[in-house]
Amino acid sequence: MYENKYQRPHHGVMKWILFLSPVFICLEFLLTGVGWTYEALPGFTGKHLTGTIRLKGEITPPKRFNLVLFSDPYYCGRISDGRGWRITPMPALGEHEELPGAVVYLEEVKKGKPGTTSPTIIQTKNCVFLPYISATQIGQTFHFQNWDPIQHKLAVFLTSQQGAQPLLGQNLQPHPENRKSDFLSEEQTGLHRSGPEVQYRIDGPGILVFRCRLHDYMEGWSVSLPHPYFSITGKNGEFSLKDIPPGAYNLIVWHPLGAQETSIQVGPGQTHDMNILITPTSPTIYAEEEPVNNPFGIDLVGDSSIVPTVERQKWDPARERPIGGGS
Amino acid sequence: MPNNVKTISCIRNSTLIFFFLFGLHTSAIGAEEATGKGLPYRTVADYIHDIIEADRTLYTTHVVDRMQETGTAIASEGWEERNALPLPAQMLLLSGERVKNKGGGLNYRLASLWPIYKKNGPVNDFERKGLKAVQQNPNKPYTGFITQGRETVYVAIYADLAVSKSCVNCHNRHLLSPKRDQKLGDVMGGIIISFPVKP
Repeated sequence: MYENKYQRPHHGVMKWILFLSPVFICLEFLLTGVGWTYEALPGFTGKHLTGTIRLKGEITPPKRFNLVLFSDPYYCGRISDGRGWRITPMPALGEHEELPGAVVYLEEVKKGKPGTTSPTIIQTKNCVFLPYISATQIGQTFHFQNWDPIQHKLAVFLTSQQGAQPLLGQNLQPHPENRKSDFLSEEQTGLHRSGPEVQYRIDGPGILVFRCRLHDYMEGWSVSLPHPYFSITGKNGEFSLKDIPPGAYNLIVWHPLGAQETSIQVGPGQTHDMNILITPTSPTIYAEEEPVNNPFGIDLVGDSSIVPTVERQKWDPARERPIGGGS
Repeated sequence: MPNNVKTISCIRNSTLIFFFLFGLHTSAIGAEEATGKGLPYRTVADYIHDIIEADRTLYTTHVVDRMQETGTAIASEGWEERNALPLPAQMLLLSGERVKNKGGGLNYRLASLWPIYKKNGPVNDFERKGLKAVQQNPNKPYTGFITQGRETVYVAIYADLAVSKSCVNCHNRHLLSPKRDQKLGDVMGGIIISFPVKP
């Protein structure tokens, strides 16, 4: 099914498209729909590649969402800016701009070490997809779990330059004993328990987006690859790819904020180590601004306010990074 | 029969088959709107386009904008889930679907070379060429005939401009949007109107 959905775009066209959108960049770097078969060789050993990813340059401000316009403003507003707005996830860059959460992978590997078939668990908790960014090998199954006391309407899309294609749309029911009021009471006695899982097997390469149709600010990303040569950068931007067959490759770094392609040669010898600097390639996004006389202000929800008891989000436009953490 | 004669015969037959199969599908702008009787097809398409445009503009300014300014209701892509108003673009698509379901043969929809959803992209080469053409020359609709099954269908594609900041913002901020540098006045896509005609 996937072979026809995913075609590598023409290189020249893609160069033009590159600056338009990170979604397009995903496509430029993605594997072709044709010939993505991978041969797993049990016991295969190869060379290792390690390194650090840093992000340098101006970052597009995050999107802001007016919580009172969406379902469950109090509950989901437990992560908000304290003024009734939710900010989309932004990476907490390290001291030297190290980028956590980026996907680092080799573009084309025909055979090599065996991969994994274990499921990839995607949770919704506090109206956030966890993890925000993941990488999967074709054949793995997503297990979507709702740990919130409210319903989510999951929608999974395959991105492409021709527009997004819906792959899955299903309700994520809460655990019957999760009660929203327990999370909002002064004592905050609520417990997160997983509701019934929704499973989805990924059968082709691509960049997937997860959304909730009830809470537009919820977004998650997953890069699906035919082989197991991928890594998610850690807190300090570090990555490690192990047992690579010797050869020439394109090493791709992908993050919703930017992407980078680097030609590398993996030869016989010791572990290779490299540092990669990527620049934000997000195009212009008009961050939502609160109107002066906002008819949908926080007063819509009554006398009380939306209290960010889980995380008070802050964005420092001068420093172009979240203040005091972020995900 | 000598080999070279066989070859020529083969080429001739192949050519005939080729034109039989594909010739009807590619008649575009050249075969412009000679109806014989009644209004030219282009005029009919222009009338329909004017109505669609007017309806959408009025819906935007007198319903969506006013409801939002007064805090009465919002327009949202997830209007069904959120008890909101459909976005103006969705309204156009919904009314186009409703007209299509009536079975009279008239179709209209919004399409773009950079659709948020794949289903709103061009579905054939004619639409792809037409959307590119109106992108370059927004003042001139791209028109022509295509064959659908046994029917000849007249198609007119009109440039669809980013007329309000909300259109631009929505496309630029949308998570799935493949183009996020739209500006006011840009051609965001096209309104594609089609109806069957007698050849």
